[in-house]
Amino acid sequence: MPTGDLTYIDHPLLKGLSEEHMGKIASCAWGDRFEEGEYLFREGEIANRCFLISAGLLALELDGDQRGVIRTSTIGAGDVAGFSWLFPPHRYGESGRVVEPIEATVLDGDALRQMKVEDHDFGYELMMRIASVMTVILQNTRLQLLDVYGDHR
Amino acid sequence: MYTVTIAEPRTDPMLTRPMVISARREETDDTFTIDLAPPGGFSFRPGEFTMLYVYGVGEVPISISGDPAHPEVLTHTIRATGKVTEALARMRPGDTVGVRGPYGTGWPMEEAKGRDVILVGGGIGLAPLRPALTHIIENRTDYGLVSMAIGFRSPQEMLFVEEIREWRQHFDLDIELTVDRADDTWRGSVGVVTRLIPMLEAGDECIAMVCGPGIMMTFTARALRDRDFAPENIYVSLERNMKCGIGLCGHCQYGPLFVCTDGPVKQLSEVERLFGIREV
Repeated sequence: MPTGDLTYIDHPLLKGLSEEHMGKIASCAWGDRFEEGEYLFREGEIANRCFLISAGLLALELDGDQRGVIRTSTIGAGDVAGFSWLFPPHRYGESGRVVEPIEATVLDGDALRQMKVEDHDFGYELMMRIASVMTVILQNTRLQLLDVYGDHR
Repeated sequence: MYTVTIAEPRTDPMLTRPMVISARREETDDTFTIDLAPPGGFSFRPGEFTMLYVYGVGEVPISISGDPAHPEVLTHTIRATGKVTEALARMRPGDTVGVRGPYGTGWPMEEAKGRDVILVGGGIGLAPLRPALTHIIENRTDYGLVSMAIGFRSPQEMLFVEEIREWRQHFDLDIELTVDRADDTWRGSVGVVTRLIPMLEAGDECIAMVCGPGIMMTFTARALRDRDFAPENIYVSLERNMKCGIGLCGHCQYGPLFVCTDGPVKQLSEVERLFGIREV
């Protein structure tokens, strides 16, 4: 559970954070490792964790019913998984399954949500960083949807 | 008495040289590779293209995908997307095609010497980059760090599968691969090829060579510029409908350029301003 020490983490999401804000994050963070085939989270479950990945490969998957499991993307070192704790209804929109063993810093989403309400400066800093990550994800998703390698005669 | 003048194919750029297909390989459902046996050999530089003529059907520009160190084999990887390429797809070893060329500007293999190199290929765009990579592998000490990012639509639509596997075994090459879509049996990366750009190692003055669909090249160029690549160090391979291949007909005009003679390989600094102009 929370280690209170984030000095060992070199993750882009935390780069340049003030000592005070880093301390807040450290109070609700811990390191963990997940093995191949394990789920970090499952589609529809209560979302209360965020994962700052430092190694490995995580597949983000949707249940496509009769189409089977649809792998929408994979993410790895330097990426962030799990944003659903931020907004109601706080349920994961997809599943995160480990393809190659994952090393990650796990953040307690409930605690973070509470802290950003209590400290708006911290909340602003956190939201700006998360918005930046989400923008990149959105742009990549758009490009993916364009189906650039398809035959568009 | 009549005097008949027979043009010399090597000096008349509009005459084709007949070549026999010596081998054919299926790459995917709609893409295949053919080896031609050029009498007397066929020298070319990585990035150049030829005009392939299916007698009685028509002619298309196709990038050479073979190994420049082996001029005895002329290799093209072709996606069947039109009348001529579909006719090429029906041809088999022993059939004859007409060849003109090689034409166009090649990849900057000389300029890249002593520098790090990043290659980014998407879909059929990997084919024109293949000669550049084989040249680098055969002259490995001439280049610094070498990385390649490859994107495909799906695992089923991957080209050169065995060769990619072999490239990935080179300890001095970093080959990253991703597909846009996959099911849960695929153990590799899923996502757009531009996501791989930040992961590739490259020092100052690294040369980037990019080939793929236009949208993919635009976004790749942006991702490279985000990494502070100078536009002079980014080379892209342009694609346009061509007819003559020698700068006469104007079919391949792209702004002030004729892609067949001024390109297809251009520095981004020369074409970046054209990328966003819809009318071009």
